[in-house]
Amino acid sequence: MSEVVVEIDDVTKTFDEVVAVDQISLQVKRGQTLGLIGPNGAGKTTLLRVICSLAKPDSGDVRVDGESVSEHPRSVRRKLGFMPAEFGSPRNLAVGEYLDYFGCLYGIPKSRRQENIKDVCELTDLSGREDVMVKGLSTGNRQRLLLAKTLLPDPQVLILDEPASGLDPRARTELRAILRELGSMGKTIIISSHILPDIEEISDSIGILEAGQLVLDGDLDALRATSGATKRVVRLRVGGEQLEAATTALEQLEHVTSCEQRDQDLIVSSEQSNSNFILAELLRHDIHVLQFAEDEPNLEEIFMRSTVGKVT
Amino acid sequence: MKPLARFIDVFRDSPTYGLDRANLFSGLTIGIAGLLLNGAVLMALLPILLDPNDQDLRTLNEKLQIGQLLALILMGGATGFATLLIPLRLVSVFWGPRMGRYFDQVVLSGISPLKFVIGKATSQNLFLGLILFLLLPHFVLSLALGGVDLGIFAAGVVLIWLYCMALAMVTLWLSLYLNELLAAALVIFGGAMLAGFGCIPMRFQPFVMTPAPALIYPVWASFPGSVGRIPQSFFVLFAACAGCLTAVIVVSFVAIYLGPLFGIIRDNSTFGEVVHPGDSKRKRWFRLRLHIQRPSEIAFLYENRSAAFGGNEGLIRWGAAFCGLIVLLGTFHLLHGYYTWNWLFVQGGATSYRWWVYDFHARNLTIHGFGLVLAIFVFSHARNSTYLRIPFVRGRLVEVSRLDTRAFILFALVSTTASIAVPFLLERLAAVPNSTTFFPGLMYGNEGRPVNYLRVAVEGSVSLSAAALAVYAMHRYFCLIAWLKTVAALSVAALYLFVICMIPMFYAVLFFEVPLLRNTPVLSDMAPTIAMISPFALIMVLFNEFGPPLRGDVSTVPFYVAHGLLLVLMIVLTRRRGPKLRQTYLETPSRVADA
Repeated sequence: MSEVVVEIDDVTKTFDEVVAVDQISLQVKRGQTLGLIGPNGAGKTTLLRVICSLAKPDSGDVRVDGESVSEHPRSVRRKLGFMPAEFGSPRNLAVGEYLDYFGCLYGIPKSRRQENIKDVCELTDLSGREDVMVKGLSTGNRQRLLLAKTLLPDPQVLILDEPASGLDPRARTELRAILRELGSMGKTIIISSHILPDIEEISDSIGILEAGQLVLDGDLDALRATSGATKRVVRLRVGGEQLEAATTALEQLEHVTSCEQRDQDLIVSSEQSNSNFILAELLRHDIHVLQFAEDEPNLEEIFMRSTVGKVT
Repeated sequence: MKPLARFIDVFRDSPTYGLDRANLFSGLTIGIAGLLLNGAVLMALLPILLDPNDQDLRTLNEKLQIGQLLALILMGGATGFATLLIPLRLVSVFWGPRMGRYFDQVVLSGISPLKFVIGKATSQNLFLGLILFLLLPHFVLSLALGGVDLGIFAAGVVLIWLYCMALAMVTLWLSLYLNELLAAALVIFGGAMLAGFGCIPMRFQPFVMTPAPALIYPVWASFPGSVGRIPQSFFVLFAACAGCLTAVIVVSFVAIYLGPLFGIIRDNSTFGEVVHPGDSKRKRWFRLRLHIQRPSEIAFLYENRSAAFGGNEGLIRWGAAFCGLIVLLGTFHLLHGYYTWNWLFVQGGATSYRWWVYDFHARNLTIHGFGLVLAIFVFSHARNSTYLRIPFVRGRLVEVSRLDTRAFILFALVSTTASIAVPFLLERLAAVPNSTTFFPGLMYGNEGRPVNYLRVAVEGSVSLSAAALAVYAMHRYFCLIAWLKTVAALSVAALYLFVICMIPMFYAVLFFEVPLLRNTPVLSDMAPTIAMISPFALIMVLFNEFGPPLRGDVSTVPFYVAHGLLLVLMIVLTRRRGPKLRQTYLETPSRVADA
């Protein structure tokens, strides 16, 4: 079992009468990507701010690489890279100057700073834009710049708050590619987003938050199992004359929960994660299968099943 | 990295320095600075251009050569320019990141607060360099015109540099506690006032916190009438100014390193947000607490200080404040003692034997009182940090209120002892060998009303300490009511001055001076007792300043009773408020189950 890098232990955070984060416990292992999803006001940003020491929990604690965020905030800050949802910058700076400023803030020695800037610019596809003024950048490039800034000190853990918000589809695809590359480099990533397909694609595990509570967590299969969205749906097509025979044969199978005709297709729902037994049964009855396609519940379906739209 | 290299690195490789350097060396900044500077020089020379035959100018011109006059105008102009612009340039130290919405990123970078803040002070050197560079042609001209002593000129430049550093450091120090604009305004006003006072010819110039006394020295030295009214040499003034400015820089540096003790408590435990209980029902306007939000964000930045400091914060912070106050008190007593000794026994002032005894004791009590007032302010903390438990030594937690109380009482004891001991020491070491005394029986040494100077030294010091103790208790209680310490301090100062110091005096004066009231039996009889509540009346009685109703032998008991009652009342009120504040700020809120 790989080492736990971020350990969120029974964290609660309230604002006046609002419980923004309610007894949440989570663990993220080294090199893993944790996606946090939830409706507005679910407590995602608050949780991320607690992790990176910008908010002190009322109870519970967060440990990063074994060090408590409450007790050793400076040490933890040096291990984390936080990309906020909102872009902020000193006035009148070019991209290179912006990165140099933050490099200096992170305490990267002058001798290494330019090399680091070059590396992160290459990684985030900002190479050649070092002299462009920050205020003239598009939203997509601003997000790249924020990510580049976050990566400058080469942190072990990346905390990304809504990195894809406001991005067009192309920029989102490119961002996903960057995040996948970072994952392959062994970075531990905690990312919050409203864009479920992105989270589904890049996360090793997912936490679903609602009204400050952790509703579900685990990898996608575990979420399917826990949420009850385990049914596998098979769409198949057989010759018209064999449609009735196929329906009768499949309805008698133990794990098939429903089998209905829709136009020329049969839609079969099963409780089994593997659908080969359906195909085997049809072949056993000498039914000629023209098309066979499996669908499994996606994150959106799991999310809709596990949340009720409650906000804090 | 070696310690020295690391120390230099704090200044040289600060991000704020880099940012300022990039902004400063833009064509627009240089152009505007050049325009303003030349405009200022022109304004300074305008009187000469408008009326070359002006009597004062002609007198000045007869005494000083034109080059000397021009150099003086240029250096004075540079000082004025620096006083105005350096504090304003530093306004952006926290304002910039907060308005640019990247202060959270600064905090999360883990940068030490000293390194972040100090870059501004380093960058002002560039600014000063720019000013001097832009004035270079004028300086060359003044040197070419003749009359300028190169040594004095170089010393002037050194003082201006020290002054600019001091201005920058004090502005940055104040910025940790006050809104930057307010801090800048205070520093500009303070700098201008001190420079103005520094220009007044004085034999013992106390306003050496600016280069003005040294810069103006050649002017006063050229007037024969100034002999005896100014120090004998330029070097004395230069050393005093350089020493004082260096001390200001060092103290500010230490203060910036220590930072404010503004605890991160429940209310402000999220960066950029201050949420009080009941806020969810308040209107937005009443939820805006910008004055708390700013120091709270700075407190998050100060979490980035070194672990060694964090573990021994109590000892370092209270130790530095206590030692600083003791050094200040000692310096004042030493200077005062030296000044008295020098004037009396070296320059023969003792022969006149008139005001000096009275003055000496009055000044001695003033130093004691000044030290106590500073201690009251330094050893009190705002309501949200009074009950914090901070690591004192090696992580051992101690409550701030306990550290404050103990430090104040210890300082009051030391100050009282010093205030009583200094006259006795001087009596023994200086007065007796010279056949004189610091404790004569009459007001001005050998004339005036009878005064018991032994009582002045002892009871005067003790009564000031008693008053300070009551005021301290009052200030500590007000700190628990008001949000800001400065507000508490101003309120206490106003209340104490008005209710305890002025009203009893006013009451007494009314019954002594108005014939109709003087004859009202009971009220009139009470007047001396009521008057003696005031510390002003007590000190004046000790010096036997009043007429018959308040002679030197009137009882001082009302003063002690009133201040004792005030002390007890404040302690009771503070103790009643403490548990509630501890609960409000420090205890974990119970979970709101149905939120």
